[in-house]
Amino acid sequence: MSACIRLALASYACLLRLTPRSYRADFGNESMSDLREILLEAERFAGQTVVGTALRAHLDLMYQLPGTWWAELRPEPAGSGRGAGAPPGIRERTMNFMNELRLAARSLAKRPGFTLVAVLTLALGIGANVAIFSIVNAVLLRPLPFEDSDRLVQIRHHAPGLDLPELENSEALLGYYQRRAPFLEGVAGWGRGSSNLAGADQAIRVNVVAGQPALFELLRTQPFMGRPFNADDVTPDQEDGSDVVALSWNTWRSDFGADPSVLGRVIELDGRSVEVVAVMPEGFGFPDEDVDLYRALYLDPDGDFGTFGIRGLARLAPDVSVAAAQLRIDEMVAGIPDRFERITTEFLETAGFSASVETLRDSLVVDVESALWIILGTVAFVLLIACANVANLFLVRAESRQKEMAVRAAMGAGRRAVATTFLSESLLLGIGGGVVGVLIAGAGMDALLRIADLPRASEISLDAASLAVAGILSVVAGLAFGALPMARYAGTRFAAVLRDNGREVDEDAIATMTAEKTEKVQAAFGGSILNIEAIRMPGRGRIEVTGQLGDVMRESAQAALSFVRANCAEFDVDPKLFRRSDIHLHFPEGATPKDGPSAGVAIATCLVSLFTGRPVRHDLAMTGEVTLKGKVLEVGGVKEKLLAAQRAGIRTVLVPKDNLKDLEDVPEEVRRALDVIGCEEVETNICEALLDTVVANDLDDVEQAAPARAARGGERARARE
Amino acid sequence: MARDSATDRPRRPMKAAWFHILLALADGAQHGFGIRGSVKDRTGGAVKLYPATLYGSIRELSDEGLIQALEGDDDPDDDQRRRYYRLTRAGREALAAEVARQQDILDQARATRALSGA
Repeated sequence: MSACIRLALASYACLLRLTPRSYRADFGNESMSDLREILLEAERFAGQTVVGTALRAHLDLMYQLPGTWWAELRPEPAGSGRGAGAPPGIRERTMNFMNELRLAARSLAKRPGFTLVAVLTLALGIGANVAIFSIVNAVLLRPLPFEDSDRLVQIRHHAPGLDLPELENSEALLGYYQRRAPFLEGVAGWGRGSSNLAGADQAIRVNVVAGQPALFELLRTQPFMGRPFNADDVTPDQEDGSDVVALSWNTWRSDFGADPSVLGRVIELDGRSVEVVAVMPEGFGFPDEDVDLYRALYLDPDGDFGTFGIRGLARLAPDVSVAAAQLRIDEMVAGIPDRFERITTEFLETAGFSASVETLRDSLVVDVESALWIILGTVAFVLLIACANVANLFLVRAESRQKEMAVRAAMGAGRRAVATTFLSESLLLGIGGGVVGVLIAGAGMDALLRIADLPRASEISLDAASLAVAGILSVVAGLAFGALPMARYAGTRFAAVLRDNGREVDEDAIATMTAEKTEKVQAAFGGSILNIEAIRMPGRGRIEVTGQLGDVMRESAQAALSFVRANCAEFDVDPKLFRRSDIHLHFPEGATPKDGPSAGVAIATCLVSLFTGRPVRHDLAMTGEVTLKGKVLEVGGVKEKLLAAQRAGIRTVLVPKDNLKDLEDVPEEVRRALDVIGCEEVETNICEALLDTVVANDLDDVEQAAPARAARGGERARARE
Repeated sequence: MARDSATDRPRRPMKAAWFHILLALADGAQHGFGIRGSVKDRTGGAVKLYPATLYGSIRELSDEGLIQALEGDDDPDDDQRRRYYRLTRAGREALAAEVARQQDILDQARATRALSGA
């Protein structure tokens, strides 16, 4: 097996890790061994490349990725054998999706501060990236707007020994190359300057490029109208430039009113009469589109060797690489002494004379290339940071929406529904950020280009590629930070969606079972009133616990339930009831986070009351942690709890027996007002708390009971924390 | 499958990968790689099911109850690790319905001059 196949398999295995775990477990091994067979087969038969096949397999996996997650996350996958249920149609899905987006928009509109901050943060990140990408794309990535532009090279000379590191070309050297360089299809000297133009609509200052007639040919450019320069246009007596010019498209449009009869017109350039022989096509500009006028230039091939300053453009002959051309031109430089009498080898060595060939693109952009890449990298990080910030905001917001999610869960929303909610909101935010980002990019880029002097600046614009990048960035950013809360919440059951958010009510908690005076006691020192509400409905033995609870409290509820279920015979509860009903325990004042174990006995009592129908005494409070075996364990803060209970008008308080010693700290009048009973077993609590009468309800026929009626059978108890 | 009430045909075309897999299983149980091979042979190499499409579709088809994984090994000589799948009754029906749907389209095309060899 070749290294290539091993590499492909390894990378496929990595990619496979992105699929849901269940998919991997079911199909991972088979996928890998299949791919191995496929690649080996590709290796055996000519006509299929291993790399291509591996690439297709990878693409195939990427293409299927969303599908594997969709199968994972959808609420109730139709089990095998249940018959063929068609997936929702495309219209249905679109409708659902639009609906989700509408809901998401509404939910975002409800929190304009959050939305504004998130959108602006993303917009800055996306805008910066789009702007810089547009620049990088136009300057560095797009080829120059000339035919076969990668064959165009610039020739320069260097003489560091004479303190002249950058020389252009001299007439004699250009002539030398023009005559004796077969590896170059052609060479043309050119220069750039500005002149005063009269004879147009008004006198103006124009940018002029003067070039040898071969220049346009090298660029493979034909005039829009008129004729290209030819060798007859230039004669040795025209030292200042020839008598023929070509207008750029823009100049023709703006200064000559796009006059179709402009050809043959005589204009004055720096006081000399020249004839317009051509108009260059739209979008053409050499070296950039700022040039207004092109003028034919005469260079003497036998001219002075030592006068440099003429730029040299050349086109490589077919099949000659830049590196090869460099080697050949080095040889030619070494051969200079044979051609030019006055130049000696010693002189060239002293001067360190050399020639360089680089592509025209490199010569134009090399100064800014690395800087631009660095800036692009930087703004990419800015976007990452922006995403991280928004993700953070999003997470915080998701935390604060636990109640909403609990309600949705209670109404039957599945994991996918919650995931969709988060995703559509984050997607909306991402798209909003993208749209604003493009606006920012548009405005910012103009400002940037005015400050920065960039090559090819005229080619920079917000084009389709930039918009595509903006779109991709928005969607990816949106999905990325939407996936965070999703990963956090969608992977667990709903009870876990309502995870605590870390803040705990202090331990001065007491569980009471009274119903009145909530507000009053809530204001009292040492915690807040907590209702324990429990309802039972037809179901399948699930328990839902809600109300901003910490893990400890949640677990203590679980322990209480297990205890009650395990001892149902003792409490005269039909064990089948547990299987046939769902229980929802709720601790109202859902906005207040609660935690701690001391409501355990109260929860147990509440559950027994729920299943037996025996109501709870309303003047009784209790506190204590309950173990699985029904032992009541000591809790802290009993003094404060008793104070609060007394203030709430409670008569009887059940505390753990081990806490009776804390009574010494309790003021005398409180002790007198309360009947404090120490309990060791939770049965004691239950016996004390529950009345013997049974409230009539449909306990034994839960399955037939309508939900509303089952709710009526619900028992209310309350606990104080 | 959602059927058109008038013609009792599936309303939407079946996914190509589903169709090929069901077709490959019509002659008997096969494992994933075997399905790939028979699809490739039957179509003369025009349709190649790469692993993710293959197993993704197999999972969807199992979820839909159109195919079923066999417990235990169907062919002890073959690779022990591979799981075999067979068509369920629902799968056979779905395949037949899809073929009938395609037949309808073919009939309609024949009725016009689309296939008259022009």
